[in-house]
Amino acid sequence: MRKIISFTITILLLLAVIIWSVSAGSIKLGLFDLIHGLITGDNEEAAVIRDLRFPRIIVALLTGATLAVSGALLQAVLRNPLADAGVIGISSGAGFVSVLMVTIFPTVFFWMPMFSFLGGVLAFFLVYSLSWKSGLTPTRLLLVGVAINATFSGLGQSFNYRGSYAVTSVNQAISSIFTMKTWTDVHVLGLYGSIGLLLSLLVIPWCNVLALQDKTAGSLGMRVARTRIVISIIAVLLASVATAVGGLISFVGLLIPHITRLLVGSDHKLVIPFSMLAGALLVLAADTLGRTVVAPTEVPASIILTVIGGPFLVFMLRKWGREYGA
Amino acid sequence: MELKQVAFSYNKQVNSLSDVTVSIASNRITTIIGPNGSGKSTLLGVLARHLLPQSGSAILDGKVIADYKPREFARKLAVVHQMNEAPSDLTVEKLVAFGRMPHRTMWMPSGKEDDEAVDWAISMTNLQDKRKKRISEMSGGERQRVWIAMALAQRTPILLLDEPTTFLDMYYQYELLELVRKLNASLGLTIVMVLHDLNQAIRYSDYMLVMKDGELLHQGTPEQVVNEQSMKQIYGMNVVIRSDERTGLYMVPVGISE
Repeated sequence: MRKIISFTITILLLLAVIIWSVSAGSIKLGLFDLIHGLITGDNEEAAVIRDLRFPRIIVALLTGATLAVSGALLQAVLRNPLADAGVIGISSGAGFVSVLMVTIFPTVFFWMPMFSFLGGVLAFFLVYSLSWKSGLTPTRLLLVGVAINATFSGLGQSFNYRGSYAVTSVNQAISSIFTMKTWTDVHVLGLYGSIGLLLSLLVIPWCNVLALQDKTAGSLGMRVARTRIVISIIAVLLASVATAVGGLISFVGLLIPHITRLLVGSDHKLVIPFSMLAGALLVLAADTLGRTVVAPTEVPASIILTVIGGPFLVFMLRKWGREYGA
Repeated sequence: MELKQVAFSYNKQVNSLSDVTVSIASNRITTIIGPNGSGKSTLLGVLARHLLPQSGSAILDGKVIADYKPREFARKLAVVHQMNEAPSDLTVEKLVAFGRMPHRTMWMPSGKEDDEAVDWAISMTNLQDKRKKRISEMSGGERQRVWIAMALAQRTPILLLDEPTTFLDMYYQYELLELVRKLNASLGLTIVMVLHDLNQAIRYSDYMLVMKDGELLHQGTPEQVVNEQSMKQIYGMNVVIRSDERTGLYMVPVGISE
């Protein structure tokens, strides 16, 4: 019952925020006029909203959904409630490698998601192998992740201070501003993001088995290492694509799956779909808030999310410490 | 199931198992005993295929166990581990249903056979009225029975248990051992378990394997294995061994041997 209510409320909120986001901004247009204008194509204001506001909204929605699901998958694979693509450095690894490649080869801009993915895989591999020996304990993993994150963020930011032709595109990749998103971004994110999200639905039964211990999963006939790798690759793909298009956003993958488990329980059959909805809701709400609260200037969604996410991580660490005595 | 000259080492310097050759009797209860660090859990780990021996071979039904596909092996042999974790909001029947994994395709709904196996496993372990309960609401003894039910749902001829009584109160320890005996007697399951308590091992085993320093020192029936000399050799303890009609064979430690 509580699960049905949670889903219903989240879907309603999501619709409400989408409508709010469509109507908020310098161009004010009634919903009816907008729909009418979009269908007939004779309303210029509707066309502007279609070309500027719609891509931004869709990118925000997809970024939120992919990051949240990426977090849920990482937490399942690493058996760690604190795993998040932003926190453990996957996003900054993705950001850095794509920035590096774009700077060296500016013409390969369209391959950004690919390089992002390679960067994400590199960062994840480093975190995984460096914390594997200690049995992937949550604190150890987090510490290694923070170190990797700092390294890649620093490397990424160093590009900001060189003053070159690439700076504009670089800025986009390592700080997150959803302005100037076009339908091309929607296509890139829509394609790779949807593939990742569909794959994440396929691995739901595996995620549930990994919630038992490795030994148990092995005794039940699962190839644990192989399963881990497959799920990790999907998680990294989701986070990297989100970073390539939406920029660096932390904490969505931490916040959303945690709230999701509180609301709908630990079964991934519900956790993954709910994370998609709630992640989309959170990022779109943050982005819309960011561009309306101090209009005409903007507060990037990533900053709003960091402001919420930082204290939340502290809260989680305290709670985790109480539960497990760390 | 048999082991031939199996050696295993965690760190390539000290052998945790050396030259262990043993044949596990079918349809019998075999218990592995020995002091801490003697390699009893390692031996069970090799039987369970969690640890692959560096030399020698473990053979099940004429085939080296490393050559089995994971799912195929999981239809032959089930394991109940010492420490188990599961999400706290999982219900008993959902957890037991994981035992059907080796028999099912992941993305298909469970079939009639699966549901029957789960029902059967739940009734064997006497959990019928608890099947909708969450794991977190159960006592340690009940929880251990749930894990056994999950292993039973795998419908394997062989069941391994790693120190199944360690964290339980005395009542639940014996309840669990009675269950193990019942499973062996009524289903003919081949059972191999690791136990800490010698008197429990004597009482509930057909055969005992005695480990020390990674070697299999003695094997045989409790009467053959447990005597004052062997206890001194293995545990460094002086013991008195008695037998009477009501208790059967039992052992009382009377001091450490100098």
